[in-house]
Amino acid sequence: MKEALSTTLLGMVTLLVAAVLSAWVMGGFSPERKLPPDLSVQAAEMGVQVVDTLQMKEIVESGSHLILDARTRSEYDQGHIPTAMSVSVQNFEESFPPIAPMLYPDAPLVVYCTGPTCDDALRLIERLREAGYPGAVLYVEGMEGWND
Amino acid sequence: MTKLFPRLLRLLLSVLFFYSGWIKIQDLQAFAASVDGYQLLPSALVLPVSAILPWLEIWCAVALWVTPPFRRSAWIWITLLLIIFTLAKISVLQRGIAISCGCSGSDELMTWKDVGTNLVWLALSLAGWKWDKRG
Repeated sequence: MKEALSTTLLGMVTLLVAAVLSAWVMGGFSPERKLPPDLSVQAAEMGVQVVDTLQMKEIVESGSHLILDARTRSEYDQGHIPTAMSVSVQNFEESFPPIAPMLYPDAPLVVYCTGPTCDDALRLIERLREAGYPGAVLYVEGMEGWND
Repeated sequence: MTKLFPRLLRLLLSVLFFYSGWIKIQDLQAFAASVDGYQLLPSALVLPVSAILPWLEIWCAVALWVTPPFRRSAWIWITLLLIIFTLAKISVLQRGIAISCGCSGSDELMTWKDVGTNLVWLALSLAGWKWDKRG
């Protein structure tokens, strides 16, 4: 009984050591590894204006911007910000054409995704810029902030 | 039947843990951000934990197919991890933090359904462990 227990514990320690070594070999403890910067930091680097939840509520109430949801269609279908339209960046070629007729070059757009750690919204803003629509701002807090 | 059932459970759990670990390794930074989002660990621990955890999942998945002492250790780790993951999710939902679970590459916001899914996996893990002991 005692022997079985110590064998099991030894096995557990071995698995943990194997995991630590694997992480180490694959660069998991590299000093260069840092938490990804907040979406607002990346947005600032790209020159994208950001809005907070209060401003987002005003935008929704006033209808001043077209609101684009950059997440997947299934995530959008499970819940989204009122009046938002789904433009999944993962499926941009198919999701963008249906909303393109509603846009004009300086159209005020606001884009969001899940929250401050997802980058789908920034990727969509990039794609929109490439398509000739530079007027998109970012709602950094996304669905996480909206649901809070 | 008596041999098929524990093997099926082993297969299920090993595929789940291997896939779960593998998908996290594909984007360690995103996983680190997910771990950070749970707001349970001091920031100094977020990166090391997020680096080790996926590998522990993978090694546990592999260890389920080696000799019995290792299998027992793997079952204990898997059960422990599932308990920790479930408690972490409950804690997040009770604190009203809206984040995605970061479990298998999904960006969908966490709900109580995720806790339920975890509990099912936990039950399967306990059953697998028990049946493996018998076998």
